[in-house]
Amino acid sequence: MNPVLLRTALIGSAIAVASVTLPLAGGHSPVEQREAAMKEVGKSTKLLGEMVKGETAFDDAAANEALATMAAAVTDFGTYFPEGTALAGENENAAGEAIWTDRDGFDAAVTEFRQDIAAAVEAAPQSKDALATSFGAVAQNCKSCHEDYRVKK
Amino acid sequence: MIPLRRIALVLIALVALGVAGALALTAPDGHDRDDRPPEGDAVAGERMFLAAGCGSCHAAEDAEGADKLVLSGGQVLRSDFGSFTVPNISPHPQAGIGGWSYYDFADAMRYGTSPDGRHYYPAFPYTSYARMTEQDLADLFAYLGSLPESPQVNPGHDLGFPYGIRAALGLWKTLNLDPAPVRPQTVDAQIARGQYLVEGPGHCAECHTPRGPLGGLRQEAWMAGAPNPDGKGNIPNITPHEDALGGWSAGDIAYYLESGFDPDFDSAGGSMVAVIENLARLPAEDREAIAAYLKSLPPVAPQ
Repeated sequence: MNPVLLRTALIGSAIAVASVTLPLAGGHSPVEQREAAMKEVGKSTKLLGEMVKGETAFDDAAANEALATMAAAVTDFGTYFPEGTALAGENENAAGEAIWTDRDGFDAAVTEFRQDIAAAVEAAPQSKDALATSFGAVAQNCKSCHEDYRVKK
Repeated sequence: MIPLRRIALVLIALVALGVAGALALTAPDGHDRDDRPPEGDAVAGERMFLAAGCGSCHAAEDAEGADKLVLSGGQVLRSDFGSFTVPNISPHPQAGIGGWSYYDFADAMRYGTSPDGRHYYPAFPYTSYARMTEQDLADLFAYLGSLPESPQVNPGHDLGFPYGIRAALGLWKTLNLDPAPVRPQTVDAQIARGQYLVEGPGHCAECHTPRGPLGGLRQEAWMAGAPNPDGKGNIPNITPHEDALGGWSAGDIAYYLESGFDPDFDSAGGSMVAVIENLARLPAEDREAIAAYLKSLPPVAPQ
């Protein structure tokens, strides 16, 4: 490829990536990034959970958008937990020390979470029952990860 | 003048009385062995096993699937008093409780007394289990007997002075072991069921209620939250105070106990996750009863 074209393409794709991730990042420090990512996941979970529970009507466009938002929010989730940031941040709930004493376990949990979300996006649920199945598979990650790696301050 | 010898005799008599009194105060209590043990139903006992969450401490740490029913013990509970190693309560005749009679089991659950007449440490929450009915204890005992045997032998506790002296627990029990209900009893059948589950087998207060200097639960701050006994962080206030569960409906609480999601769809964490896994398998009416009871509590400000 022509070097100028290549550069343009690279810059173009960098801008494209940035424009997708920046609104989700919500700040620059890893602690702000992880809190912002979890808030995005939380918002999507609420929207999906209320549909599954029957509190709101099933809306296939909104549901699939929420799944995609969740997937985007956790793309780099594992990198938001550098050493020395246990219990950091503004939230009542924070990252527990177990993340760093059991890093392999934590990374495996994050990978599983991302895979389950990707599978739900792929499944593109078109009914309340299909959403319940996809949502259930994603949602079990919340508890299993928070059981070991999140603490209430 | 009173002869010195007589004074000495009186003193000796007083000391002897004191020792006898102390022994009486610290001696472990138990059931009368002449009674006919109640018939237990293992199928019904599973409900108590889930409500009490026995497996959360007595199965191996991180046990999954069928291993959750192998109650080999071995988890270590760290506390300010030292480290407690959870015992094997599988039906193995030597390593577990396979050799126990129903009354051995009932003594442990209601009086915190072992078959050889020693006190158990209250890391085993018998102060709550003491409120369980005889039928529920019998059913639970039958259920435990139906689980797989584990030959695992666990090390003893590792406690600092003076907590290693079990006789002192007799005094602790006279202060803190009372099978009476905590909240006034009610004619509302649903709240009464919730009260039984929460104050008895569910032993919720053991973590959710703050403790006084001697380790007893502060009943005036019932369910108002406490430091996490597992280490860092806090266990939440679950009274209907506006800064606690005041904004939650009974339905919100019941849904949380089933799904782990709060009304904002934030998820449960920490040791509550294992509790919810168990409670999710109870009949819905039990979760609704727990919710009704929690809504009936006096609101207490966060401690």
